[in-house]
Amino acid sequence: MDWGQPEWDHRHALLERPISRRQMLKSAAALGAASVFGPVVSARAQGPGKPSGKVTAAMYVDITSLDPGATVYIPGILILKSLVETLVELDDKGNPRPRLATNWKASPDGKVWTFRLREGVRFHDGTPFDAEAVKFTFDRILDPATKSQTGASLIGPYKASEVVDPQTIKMTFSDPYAPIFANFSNPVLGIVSPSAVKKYGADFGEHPIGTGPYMFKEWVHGDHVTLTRYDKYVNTSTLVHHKGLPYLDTVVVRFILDHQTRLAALLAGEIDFMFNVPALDSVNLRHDPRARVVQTMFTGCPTVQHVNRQLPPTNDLAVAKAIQFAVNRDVIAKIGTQSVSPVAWGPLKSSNWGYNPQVKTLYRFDPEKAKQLLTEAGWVPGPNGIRVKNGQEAKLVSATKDDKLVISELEAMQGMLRAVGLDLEIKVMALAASEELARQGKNSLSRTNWWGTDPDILTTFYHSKSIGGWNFGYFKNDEVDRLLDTGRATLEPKKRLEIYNRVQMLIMEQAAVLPLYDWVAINAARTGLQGIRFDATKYYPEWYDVTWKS
Amino acid sequence: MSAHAAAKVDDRAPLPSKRARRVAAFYRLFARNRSAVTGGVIVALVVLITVLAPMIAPYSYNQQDFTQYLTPPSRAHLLGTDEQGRDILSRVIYGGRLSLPIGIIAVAIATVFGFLFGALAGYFGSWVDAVVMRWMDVMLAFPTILLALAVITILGPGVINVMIAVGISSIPFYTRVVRSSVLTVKHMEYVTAARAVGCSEVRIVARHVLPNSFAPVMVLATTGTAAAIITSAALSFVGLGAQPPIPEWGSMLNTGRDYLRHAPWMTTFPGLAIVVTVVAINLLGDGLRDALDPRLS
Amino acid sequence: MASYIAQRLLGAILVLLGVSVFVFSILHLIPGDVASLLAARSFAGVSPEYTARIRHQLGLDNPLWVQYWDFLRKALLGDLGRSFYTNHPVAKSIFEQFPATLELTGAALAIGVGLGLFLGIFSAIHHNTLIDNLAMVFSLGGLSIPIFWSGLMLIYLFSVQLNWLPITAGHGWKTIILPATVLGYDAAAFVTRMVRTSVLEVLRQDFVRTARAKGLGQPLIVFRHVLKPAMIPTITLIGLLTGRLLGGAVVVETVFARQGVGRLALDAIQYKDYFLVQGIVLLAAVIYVLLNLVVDVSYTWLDPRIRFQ
Repeated sequence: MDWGQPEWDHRHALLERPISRRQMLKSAAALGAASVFGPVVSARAQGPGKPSGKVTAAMYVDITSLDPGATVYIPGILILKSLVETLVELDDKGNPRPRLATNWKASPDGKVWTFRLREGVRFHDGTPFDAEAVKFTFDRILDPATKSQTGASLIGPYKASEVVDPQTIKMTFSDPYAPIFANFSNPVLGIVSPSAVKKYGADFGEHPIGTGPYMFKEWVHGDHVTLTRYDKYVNTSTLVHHKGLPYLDTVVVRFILDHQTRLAALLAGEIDFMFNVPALDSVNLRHDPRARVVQTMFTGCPTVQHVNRQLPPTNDLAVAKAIQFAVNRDVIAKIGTQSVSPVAWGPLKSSNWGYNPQVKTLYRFDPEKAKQLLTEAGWVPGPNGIRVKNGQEAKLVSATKDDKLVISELEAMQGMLRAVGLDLEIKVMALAASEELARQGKNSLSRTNWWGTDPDILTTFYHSKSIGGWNFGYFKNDEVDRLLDTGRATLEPKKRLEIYNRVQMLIMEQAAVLPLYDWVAINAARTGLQGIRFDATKYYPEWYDVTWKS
Repeated sequence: MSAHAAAKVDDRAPLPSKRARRVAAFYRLFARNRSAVTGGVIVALVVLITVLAPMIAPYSYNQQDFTQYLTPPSRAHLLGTDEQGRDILSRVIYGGRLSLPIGIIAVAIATVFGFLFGALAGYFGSWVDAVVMRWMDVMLAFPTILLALAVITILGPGVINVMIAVGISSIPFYTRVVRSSVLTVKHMEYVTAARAVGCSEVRIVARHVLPNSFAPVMVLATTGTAAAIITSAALSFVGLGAQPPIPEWGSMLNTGRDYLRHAPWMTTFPGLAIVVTVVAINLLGDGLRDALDPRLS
Repeated sequence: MASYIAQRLLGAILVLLGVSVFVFSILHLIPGDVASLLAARSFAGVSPEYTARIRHQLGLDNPLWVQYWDFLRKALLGDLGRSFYTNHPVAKSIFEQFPATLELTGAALAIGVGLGLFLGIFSAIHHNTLIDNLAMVFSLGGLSIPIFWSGLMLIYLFSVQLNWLPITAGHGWKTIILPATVLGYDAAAFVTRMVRTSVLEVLRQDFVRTARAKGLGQPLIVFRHVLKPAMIPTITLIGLLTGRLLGGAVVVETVFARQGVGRLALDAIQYKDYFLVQGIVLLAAVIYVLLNLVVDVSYTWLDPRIRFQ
């Protein structure tokens, strides 16, 4: 089966190298950086360093649960990547590789998948990994009691599974499932230990048990999570650089939300790896002997502001379109990323194989056009400059987390919107609170960015069944729903591409989302840390091969 | 004596009243204190500038100009620009329109309640005094900023809540001052006399007792305004006060913090504005105290 | 003297009770239904059953005085509840962060008192000279310059421009010197003024003139007769100072990106982690009251007049 060739550059397959894109090289040159990559070249070339040691990484967002079925936030997934394993994983070309499953085949109608599972693998609690565990994991995600959001979306048309024998499982889907491998390689669908879930019940999120190279040790809420090496680990991945146990015996993931604090901790040696270096600071970091910049263009959705198409005034198409013309994306990219990230025009990142370049033709920065659209639709400038229609003022509201860069971006947008007569109120609060408001549909603009290799991730944001979940824009379009469902069930890549092209155009024609920029993830590692390998999404590093230069 | 001479001296002309003499003495002492006068002049200037902000400020406080991203001080932008290309000078000037009133209103709240509780405690004594002062002790058991934080927890962040929080946390100081000056005059003869004549308690308190505390309260209020400005700026600095894009000196420092290495002017100038204003108010307050009652210094 | 101590002890206990009432009422003064507010925090969504479950779990359906008694009883045993957001015991969170704040406050107190005593005495002795005026300017600066600004400016000077000191965080004297100095300057300003005033008063008194008439040299006068009585207001101040320093630590920890109770408090307020806020405010007040009690009791040693009251 041909699952489609991703169009990104696969030359530098395994390491911390971004997809080479002209814009990125241009920005890198503009920043005066000779090279975007650090001194680490190929872990294969060097032997392992110390067979023990610790790495401490710091995330910029906190987590709420470590239950893969329930996890929503990025650092949760980062941690789970080392804790649980999935049936398959993707390589850089987007091809599925065996992980916990050794091979697989589909029925002719594509609705039944049979997986053969690896033998000799055990969970951290000693219980054996088998087909029962797989069935348990997947059925659990369908169970409303688990409250799975991401998992329920990724599991697609999964209906049930049948345990043929301990090493064989047969999964039934209600429809053929095209992105099955892309989605099944997400740690959210990592296989968990049934006995552990039964033992901990609702507290499983505090004691995750999987089969991964690292096991859970402790979680000091609000501060850090500690993982220790699983000494009975059986290597299941074909993408790693060595066999046997991971090099480092401890992985600590800390939650340091403030950008400057996190950066300071890296420079002070308190942490070894940090996510999300503010672009302005990354310039200096490139010349700092203590650390190096690790930059990746991960694939998925760009950083966007979902426009609420059911909440006034953005439920008026004219207003939604006016926003597209009113916002100067170059400026936003400058404020948020020092122009390291290229501007985005559609709901998918340009690095995703399903990207439709036609989205660029729909809008441009043109405040006059925005004003024209508004006036034509009956939005007349009121006494204080805010437009009014039928006695209602054009007042938008956006609740956001307390992240200074995000707030700066919103302030800039606020000014741009004001210039065309739209009033935007910015409410700053904790992340959980702002997401709750977004979920309830009370936000006019809601910010997200997301990773994923298959264009099916559009379902998570733009399918009407995701309303109340990640569809912050409350976007409901029957044709988009239909296309997304079809695209998920169509196996032929060319047909899928056609379908997703159409979806992207529809979404943008309805102005359901304001794409900002294709976020380039700028991370940083202390000098001496090597062997960091990114997965197929290019967002998550894996710790298995990580070691210190001795 | 000749009629001419008799006409010159009028025995029935009143002497300058005690109050008029005190006021004159106050002015003399105050005017001699150069630093206090300087302080007063600076405060007046600051107030004037903030009142005249729309006329003086070269730009609007919200005028974004993305071609001027993080520029250092120049002729076009005397104090530089911030990450939205907004003029720092204008934002500092407009910022005064928020930071000054916050301090003043917070002190006003504290003063009003201070008079109320202090009069109650001082005048009525016994169990009223015990209850009120114990309660003030409880409030004083918290560091001022933590007390303000506790109030903000209840009310939520925002400029008005900061005013209320800082006001509430300052009440104990004013209560104590009012109470102690009430105590000094409570037993004086004119109070007893007033009571004998049949004045209502309220009238006695309002017209005879409280005015005695005006002087120390005024001194406290002046230095208190300075402290209130700093405390409310601190609350905004940690993100609990003014929300974007409102220019407030404390929250400007908060934003500028991330750009300290690249655009230090974003933090230097709003902070300097706070320092200048507060120093001036403190000098004024010191001068007031020295002039009102030299014994107090 | 015993009655003096007993009096003070009783007063302290009363205040502590009042403090506990105040802290307890924080949660209940919040507009809106606390249980719903807390339910909305979690991802389970706001369903009436979940909200009712939370209400029952936290005992919010009990009458107020029962809740208060539970709160007081548990607090005395060291159980300050659990953070609703992270489910971590509040007491544990606070004590994890406490050493860092203690370190900072202790260093600042030492700097403040040391510097303040020295400058206060020195300027009083050289009353109305240039030194005196400089000291007054110094103290005015401390009262007027907000610590968050001076902190940032010093960071810029020493870490960014001169690169002498590491920017933030970590351990060792190098990372504590800037924040402690900033905080200590604030304290020193206070102490200088107080000490100067009281030393001036003492210097005017008769026994000093007598000592001078006897022909004793200046340093001797200072050490023998002035220092001890001048210390009394300073000791009084330590209570007030610690309170001020604890408050200042909140800001300094943010500016210098340090761990500590201050940062914990701010995060707690941001996340509306009410129980954590309660716990921190309670702890700060308890420390303050106990410290003042110690100060009051130590008066009996410092000032003989009280001993024989």
